[in-house]
Amino acid sequence: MIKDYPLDITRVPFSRRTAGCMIFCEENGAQLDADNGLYLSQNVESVLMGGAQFLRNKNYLLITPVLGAEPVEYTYSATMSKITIKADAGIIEITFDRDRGMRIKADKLGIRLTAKMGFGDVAALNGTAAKIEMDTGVFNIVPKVGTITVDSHYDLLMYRYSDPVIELIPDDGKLEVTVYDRTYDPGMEQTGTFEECVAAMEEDLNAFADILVDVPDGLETLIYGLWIAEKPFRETIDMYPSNVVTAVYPIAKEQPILALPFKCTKKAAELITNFGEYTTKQGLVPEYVKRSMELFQTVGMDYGYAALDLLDKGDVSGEDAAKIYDFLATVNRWWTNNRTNDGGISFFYAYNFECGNLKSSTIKMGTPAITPDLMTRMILLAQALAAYAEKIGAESAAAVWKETADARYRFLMEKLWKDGKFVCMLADGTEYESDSVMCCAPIMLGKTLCADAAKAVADTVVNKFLVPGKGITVEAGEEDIDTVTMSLIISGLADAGFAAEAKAAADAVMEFIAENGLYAEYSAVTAPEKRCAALYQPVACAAVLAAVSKTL
Amino acid sequence: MFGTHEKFNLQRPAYGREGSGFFLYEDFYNHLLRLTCYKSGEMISRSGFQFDLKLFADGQEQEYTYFADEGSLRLDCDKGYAEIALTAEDHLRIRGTASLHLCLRPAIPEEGTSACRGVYQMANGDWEGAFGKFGMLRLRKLAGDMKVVAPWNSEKGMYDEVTFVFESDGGVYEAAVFEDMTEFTQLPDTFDAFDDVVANNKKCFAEFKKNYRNVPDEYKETANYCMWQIWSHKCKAVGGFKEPMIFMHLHWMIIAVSWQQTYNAMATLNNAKEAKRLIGTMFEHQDPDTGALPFGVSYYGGGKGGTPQPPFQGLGFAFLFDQFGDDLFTYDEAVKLYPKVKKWVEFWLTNRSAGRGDDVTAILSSHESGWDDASIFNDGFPAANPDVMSFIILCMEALSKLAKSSHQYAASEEWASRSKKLLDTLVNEFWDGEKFITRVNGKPVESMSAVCYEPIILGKRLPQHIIDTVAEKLTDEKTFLSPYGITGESMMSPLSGYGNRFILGRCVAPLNMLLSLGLCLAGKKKEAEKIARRFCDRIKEKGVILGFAPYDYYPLTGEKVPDLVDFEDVPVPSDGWPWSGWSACNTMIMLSHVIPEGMKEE
Repeated sequence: MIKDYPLDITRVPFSRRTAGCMIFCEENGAQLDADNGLYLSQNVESVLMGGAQFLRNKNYLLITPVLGAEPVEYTYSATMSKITIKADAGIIEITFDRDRGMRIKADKLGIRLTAKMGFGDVAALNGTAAKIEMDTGVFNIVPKVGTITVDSHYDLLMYRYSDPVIELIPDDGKLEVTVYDRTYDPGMEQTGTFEECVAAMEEDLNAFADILVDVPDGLETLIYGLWIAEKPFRETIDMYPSNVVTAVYPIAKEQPILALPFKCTKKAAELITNFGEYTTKQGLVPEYVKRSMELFQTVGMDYGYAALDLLDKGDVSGEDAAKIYDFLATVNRWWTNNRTNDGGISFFYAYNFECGNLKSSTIKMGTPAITPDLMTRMILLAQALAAYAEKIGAESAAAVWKETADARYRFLMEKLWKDGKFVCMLADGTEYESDSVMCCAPIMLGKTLCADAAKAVADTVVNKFLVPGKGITVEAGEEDIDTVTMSLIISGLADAGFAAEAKAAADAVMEFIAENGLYAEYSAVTAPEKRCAALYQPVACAAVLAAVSKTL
Repeated sequence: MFGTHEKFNLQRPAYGREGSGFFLYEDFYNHLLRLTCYKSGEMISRSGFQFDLKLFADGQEQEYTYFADEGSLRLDCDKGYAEIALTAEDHLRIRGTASLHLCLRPAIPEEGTSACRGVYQMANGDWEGAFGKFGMLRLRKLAGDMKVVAPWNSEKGMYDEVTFVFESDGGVYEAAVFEDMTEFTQLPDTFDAFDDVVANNKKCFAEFKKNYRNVPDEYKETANYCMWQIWSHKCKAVGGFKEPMIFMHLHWMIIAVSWQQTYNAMATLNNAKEAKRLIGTMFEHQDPDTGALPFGVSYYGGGKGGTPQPPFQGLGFAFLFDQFGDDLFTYDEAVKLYPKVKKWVEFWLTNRSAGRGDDVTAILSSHESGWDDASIFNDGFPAANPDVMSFIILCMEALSKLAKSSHQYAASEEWASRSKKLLDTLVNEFWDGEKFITRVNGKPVESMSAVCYEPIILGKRLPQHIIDTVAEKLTDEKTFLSPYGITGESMMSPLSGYGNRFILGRCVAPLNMLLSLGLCLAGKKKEAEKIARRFCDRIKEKGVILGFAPYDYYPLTGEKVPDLVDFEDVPVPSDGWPWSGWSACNTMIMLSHVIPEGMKEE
């Protein structure tokens, strides 16, 4: 039960599932040419019209508690359901209601909001409320008790509104305001008292935690990081952006990872198949999808692994199974039509970026390259297709897919398993070694991988890549760590029966998280920078939750 | 048309073609031609996806001159040539004898070749390039040799260079370069002869020009440039474009801007069907919930939210009804269009109501009037401005006609009545005897903007005394009428500026068109012709640019304009530098309607 759990909003913003608004504390404002302090922002994708000539700070409003007209010294504390700002003269509390409104309640204090405007931004009173439009963020600030003023004028020579000063003024010492995002409807009625909203937030967070895999104490912020990331996308589907503050759009390769920590098979199935809507006629899964565009290039993705993992969790409905089967078959079709020279046995990356890491030594000889991680993904894909074909009653298709998976596995072991390690190969057959941990990716085959190879890989992970107290590096002897890659290796070790090795790696990660917080990428040597949006990216949260759960 | 030794080179105009994703231009500093694609929407001042065109012979880079017309663009050096023909089928064609190198060079040098994520030779010998958000290229050799020079730098994580080389193996080389933002389907197995592609381009442009009425002889060349500008900026229905639309720019504002589609419709006076189609394009992107039309449409579609442009369609409808008759729209067309226009007008009346209980509107941002820096907004917002109200009056009138055409007679009467009522309010409450005034919270805004006279677009709906006063004011050469047309702000205004401004001082095409057309519609045809000729003569001399400073000094103070050289004589990512589709259509309206109407008065 997560209750009154402290939240460090210098590392992860205060927000709520489906709410656009968020608050974070900036301590490195100098890097942004901005003041340190508490900021109100929104989870929206920036749309810079025409290019950088219209660049501005994103939709950040600096929050300054005031007494009358004067700023006051304050301290603040945050839990996962409330922020409390205290000054000698009074107090401000902030939470969210069920309708995605940010509720603010203040006693004796007022609030000043300031921002830097850009081209097309507007700050104006709208009746008794205020509407602030910054880039694609829309703040509808609606006082229930108290008043609001907006000091901003259109500057003809700058083609924009002057930087606004918005004052939330208490009435007889009391202030109650709700900040809505773009979805505000003036006719909507507020439900729930402030205290009821706090309780409802906790209830919702705990309900979310209940559909996740079991994890030990100490990972509550990861659960929270995943919970707040569930945001409306294109106003129709709830999808997980890559980063709620900065990269506010979903990335395809993250979706199967996001599925891993969910016990709820329906939710996991949704995450596995959500990019099906954006797939091209030829089956290309776009690398990412933004508010109004898709990037139609692709990278290797772990759909097969996630789909098999889902089957292990519980009862996947027939409808979900069919949907997953269709999607996996689509992915397989594209790779078979475009990235194989032998009819779908072996696969190559045609472009360096398709491996997901431009600095990976798996592509040091250039491309087209056949690598152990890609072969692992394609084996898992075929295995998943076989399993789901069986699930939906397509027995003969299941047999074909199983044979395909076996053929791909044979290629992996006959062509890429050399002298006790996995190697890479150019499309012309030239073999080469790589110090990348992706050469250990075959451990994700679990019990499919033959015992000798699995043992060799497990030993390699521990001896060459694992840094105590930090995690698993991307390249042997180097410092970069990628949390998702690391988590998949840990999960693979557990799946393959190397519980001790998996636990050792998981413990190293947990130790790092306890000290520094969770990063998607970090160094095993240099202390990471602490900035909100640099930590607790949803995919990293999901990957670690899933991996740690497997080591219990 | 364009070239090293022609009246105009390609530094300010972009070389494009109707339906082509590719376009080229001349780099201002090194004079190389550059090739890119519009679809990412990235301005050329920022884009990493740009290729220098270089000619080589015997291993040596050659200086070249170029000539371009609607058929093709040809580069010539002492040792040979290269020629490029754009097409509407997502590819361009190349042929030549001197080796052509397309060298990736970003606008921001520090980015290096990062726009190129990878190059890959396919089994059939084609090369494919992946350029991230800029899409994909596919290169196919048709004759001669082709190679790609792209050494990978693993430390930098990008290529040291990316160069596509087309060269002769003794004869003429030929190649095709395809672009796509999604994925390539089957490329054609056969290709038309290069000369046939060129001929087809010329034929396409000739057909396009038939959409426009004749212009006086002295402006025929100018009109040709204008029509070429519009044609080359017309995209096909691809990506987010549900219909072919017309861009403001290919270099900078790579958007089919909302009200500009109506401006273009108003210029298309020889083809009522095309005019109707153009005015209807924005309604394909209407927000079904709010009724708002987006600011514009890019390759990625028309976004929701954001600042709408004014309901300019009112003037477009009024002008087209005037030119083609009240039965312009068939019953079926009216049935389809009426609810969309109604929802758009209701967006204004609901979301931009001045809160008086009538149809007076008040906007929240200058962009909603289209005049980003007009001095009528000196007192801020919400601003009840007569120019937008004029569009609403005309929109309501259009709704009345559309309702009638769709047999909704009661609705027709009601809209006509509301239109008249708002017109009366405009005349009685927003005319101060000298000009139309904007009000903020009921108070008049002090302004010397030419926008104060924009309600002249209402033509003879206005009382004669107002028409006479407006005509007098706009032809006063001390205040508004400069050698190059109407200035957006009076020359006697302390706010007037000619450098990096939009209409706060300069003479710009749309305002000159609106005011001259308005006077023409109001019966002041000679005055209208005078204004139009001044502006169009400047276009004839300088090219199809959006606007001009009337002087290099300020008449009010005698002070020299300090930033004019910076703004007019070097590329600036703004409205002012490049040729503009918006300027082209406005010039065509003046050339094909306003000036000829004035000439009839002789």
